[in-house]
Amino acid sequence: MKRIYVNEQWCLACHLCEYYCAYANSGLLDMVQALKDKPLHPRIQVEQKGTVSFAVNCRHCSEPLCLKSCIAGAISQKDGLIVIDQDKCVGCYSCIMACPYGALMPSESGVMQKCELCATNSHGLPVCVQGCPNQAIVYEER
Amino acid sequence: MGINYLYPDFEVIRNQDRCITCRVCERQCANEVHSFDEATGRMKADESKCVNCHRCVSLCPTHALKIVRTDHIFKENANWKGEVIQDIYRQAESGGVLLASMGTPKDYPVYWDKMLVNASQVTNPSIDPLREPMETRTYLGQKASAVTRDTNGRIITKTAPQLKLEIPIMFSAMSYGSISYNAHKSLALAAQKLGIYYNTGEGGLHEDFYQYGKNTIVQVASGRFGVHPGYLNAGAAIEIKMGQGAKPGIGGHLPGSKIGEDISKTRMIPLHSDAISPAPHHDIYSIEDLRQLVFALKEATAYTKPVIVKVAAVHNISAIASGIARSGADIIAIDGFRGGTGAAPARTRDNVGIPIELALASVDERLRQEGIRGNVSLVVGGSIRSSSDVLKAVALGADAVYVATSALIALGCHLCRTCHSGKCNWGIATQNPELVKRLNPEIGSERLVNLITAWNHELKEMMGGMGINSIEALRGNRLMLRGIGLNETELQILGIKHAGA
Amino acid sequence: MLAYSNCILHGADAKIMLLTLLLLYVPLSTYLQKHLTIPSPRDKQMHFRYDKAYSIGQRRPSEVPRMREVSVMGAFFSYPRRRPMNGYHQKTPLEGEVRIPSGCAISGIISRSGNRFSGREAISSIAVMHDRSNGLGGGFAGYGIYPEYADFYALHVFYYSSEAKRSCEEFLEEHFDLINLSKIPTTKQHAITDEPLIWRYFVTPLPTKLASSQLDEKEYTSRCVIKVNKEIDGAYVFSSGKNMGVFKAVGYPEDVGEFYRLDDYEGYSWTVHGRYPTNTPGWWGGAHPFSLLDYSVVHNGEISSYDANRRFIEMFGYACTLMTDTEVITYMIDYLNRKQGLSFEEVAHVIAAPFWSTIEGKSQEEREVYTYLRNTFASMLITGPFSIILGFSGGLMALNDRLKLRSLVAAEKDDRVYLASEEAAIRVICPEPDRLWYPSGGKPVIVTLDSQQGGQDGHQLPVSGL
Ligand code: SF4
Ligand code: SF4
Ligand code: SF4
Ligand code: SF4
Repeated sequence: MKRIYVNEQWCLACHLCEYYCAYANSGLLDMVQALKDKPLHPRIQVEQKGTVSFAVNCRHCSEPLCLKSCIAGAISQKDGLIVIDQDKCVGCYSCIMACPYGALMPSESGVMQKCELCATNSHGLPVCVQGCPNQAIVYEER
Repeated sequence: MGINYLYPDFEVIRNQDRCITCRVCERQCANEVHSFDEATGRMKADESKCVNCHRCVSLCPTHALKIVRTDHIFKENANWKGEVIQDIYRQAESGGVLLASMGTPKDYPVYWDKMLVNASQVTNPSIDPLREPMETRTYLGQKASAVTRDTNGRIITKTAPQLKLEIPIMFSAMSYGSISYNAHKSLALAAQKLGIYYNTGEGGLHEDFYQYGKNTIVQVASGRFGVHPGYLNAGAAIEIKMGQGAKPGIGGHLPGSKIGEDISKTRMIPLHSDAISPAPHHDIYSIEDLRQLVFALKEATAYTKPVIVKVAAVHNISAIASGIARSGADIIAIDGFRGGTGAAPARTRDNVGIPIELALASVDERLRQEGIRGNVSLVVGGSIRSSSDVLKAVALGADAVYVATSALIALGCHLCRTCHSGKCNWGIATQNPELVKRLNPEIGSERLVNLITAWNHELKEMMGGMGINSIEALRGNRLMLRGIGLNETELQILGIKHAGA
Repeated sequence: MLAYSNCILHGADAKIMLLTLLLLYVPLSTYLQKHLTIPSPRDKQMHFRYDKAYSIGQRRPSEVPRMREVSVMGAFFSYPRRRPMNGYHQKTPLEGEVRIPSGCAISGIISRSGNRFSGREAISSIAVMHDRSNGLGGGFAGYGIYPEYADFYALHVFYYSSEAKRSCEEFLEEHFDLINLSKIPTTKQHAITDEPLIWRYFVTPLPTKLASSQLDEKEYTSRCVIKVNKEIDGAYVFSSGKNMGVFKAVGYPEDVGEFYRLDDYEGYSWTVHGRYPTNTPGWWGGAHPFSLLDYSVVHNGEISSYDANRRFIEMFGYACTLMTDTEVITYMIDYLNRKQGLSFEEVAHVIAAPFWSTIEGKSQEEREVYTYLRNTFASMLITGPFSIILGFSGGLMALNDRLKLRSLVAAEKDDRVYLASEEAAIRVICPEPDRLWYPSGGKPVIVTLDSQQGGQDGHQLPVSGL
């Protein structure tokens, strides 16, 4: 399965991935409309310490702990892709506790959100990867 | 602080309707132009620091930014132009030589743009490169003047060492120091993929790059930085740098601040010491001295590597080239005055030397008149900007061309001409690890490969149009060129007719 | 017959007629040649005997005033190019003033056993291809035609004034022993006008001059020829080989053949050329074959590498005064074969070098040789369409460009080998060849006399490049 991998050597900590992600999942076609003067809720987050930085999002683990921990059965695995059904999410934060990567976070509405590789939004392919200026995140089969 | 005589050259225009305050511009501008104003929740800019490198413009996700030339003016004066006045202010302030980078921005004639190319009609068919073989392979090096045979009458095929190029384009000298590790790596990777060569420049060869030796030209310059037997033998050819188009007659100075651990090791000089290249080679004060160095280098490499002598295009270039052609050198590289540089005195860059087109035309003709054109190959550089420049150079008589500025542009350079500041936002002309990181060699080399491949396609397309299917039949084929808007003298030097004639 | 009808048509009618003929041309002419044996109208007119005048050898009287000393070496080191025949033709641009592309017809015949035959067959062959030329140039080269003078250089010279003749003869006398000289016998043809004075000299280099020049005989002679052509206005040496001769003029080639009475010459090989230049130079020297020493070249095509080739070959003392492809090709062959000692096959691998991809597919040894030749003589690669027939002492070589952009046919019957632009031009003189083939692009067909096997090109088969 194709996943997003990090080449931290090339991450510039520009945070563009975060903005592209928030835009991609906004449901809007215009980035300005989607993001201007609004709080940012990206599903990818840049971690930085000193000169080292990299972007973290869901790893789409083959044995996902979040799925096991979810008390509402909101998280499921389809062909390797881990998706969350926000209608079922009760906002208990169990998945956040369970994910070793911190890849889940509350959305604007309070229920959880996570990276679904842009497979469930209108873009189809990871927009963060397309927006990264230095190939610090790549979407590939390994 | 006194009076600031200089008004910023550029204005940073931000469309606040589009800005999403992502602060990417702020993070990416090493000149610290952009900042976030907590009070207003908006981005603001200090344009006096802007060098117009377009890094922020290119990365702004909403296209909220543009950089424009200021419309602030001096009172109009055809003689005392604004830039002239500003230079005086600068020097009155600093008392120093004005430094500049890249090729001259002055409005000198570009002869490439005043030559037109022929195509076949009726009497001779054009050739479709998609259907028929179309060859751009070129060998550089001395050609035998007489065929020799063994006792069985078989031709002895051993020749002087040659450089084999799949495309008659090479990356010209840019030292590790003047450009970054990642820029060097991009060039090396691309040269390897393209079957061509890149050039170490005068800064030695980083140990990581010995693996690309087959596609490397190692340079020996007046400072002799990083030169040792292993280095000489590491490359496919050795280039003696006598001069550089952007600064003929001038040496080089890489400030100690740029001589970090890696560079100090590669250049074989102490950490943080200034790297000074003398103006001349102090063992070459005349042509016979050059001959000695040529043969010393050949001895050191057992006559297995062609030796290139690189000179700047200056007024009596044809006589100089004729001397070099008799010095044992295998290849002459001529660098025209529009060529780039990491740092040069602005006055030298903008006023010394001659255009490469004229230098090439007169050198090629002179070597033919003397019957020694076969002794050497000719490589020309100094602002080759497109495949048509390459084509015209070959038709004037060049065997191959050197490109550097075009390659840097492919890597992201926006010709802001502030390489000498060491704060290249594109990770090219800098040694700051945070900035160097911005150039991922995987991306860089792919862009270089794309550029040269695209040029080669165009070259083949135009050759096919002329009914030529091997590049050697284009070399020196000046009937394929016509001048446009050139006077008699220019036409005569270029050895071409005017369009319509 | 077709040729004849063209001559009497004029204006628009002629154009339409020509077009129609062009379309019908190949099949029709082949048909006619095969099934009807109508004698050419000009056959009747050929009742002149071989004019022996040339053989009554006379040294020139010595009263001609001496000319300035002209050194042979001078030819080598003076660069400015003279416009040939300056002042004699002023209306249209001449060879040497502009580059004149042309389409053409070529043909060649050789008897491998060395049997000599008259120029008639060459005339008949080229006449079939009448429409491939436009009356602005035709010519022949015959080998083995001067057995009585086999050891002397036969110089054929055009003069446009008696002044030019005087200067040229003076120069020749200073450099050569003139064994024999005469006008070349001709028969007036109504289609051939403006003829210059046409003279022939059998010469041998003056031993003292030759010795002091430190050149070999051929180099000495070629430099003298180039010198005359470059520097003596109104004189043009158009043939300079031994036991061979070039005959050319402005006109249709079949008329040129009659004009020079080629029935009266017998050679073991002949080449012939009909020219279709794209403008009207009207200068005799510009007709083909182009010749230097024993080499003569007839050529059909327009090479795109012209200036690359010219600027390279001019480094070696050649002066391309005509700006024609044929001239530069001849010089390159002279350089490669005579000066560099390459065999004709090797010459072909230089001027029509195989593509690198082809070279890569060859055996290691071949690959090395091909790469060496292609790299060493890179600037002598010819690109663009061409088919040439090279005449040399003892043989012919036919060669096409690598893509075969011009037609070329070869045929063999008994000891004869035929080469021509069109099959019809062979069938008219050899209706039932033993073998007929279309040589592929870049592959030379080299035919040498049986008696020459084992010579310099000894490894070559009688007919190679099949
Ligand atoms: S966009 Fe790429 S370079 Fe920028 S922070 Fe994200 S991963 Fe790093
Ligand atoms: S793949 Fe799509 S959803 Fe996942 S982090 Fe990237 S932009 Fe966000
Ligand atoms: S210096 Fe470059 S990155 Fe900084 S503001 Fe100017 S253009 Fe933008
Ligand atoms: S990069 Fe563009 S959108 Fe982001 S803060 Fe700068 S101007 Fe605004």
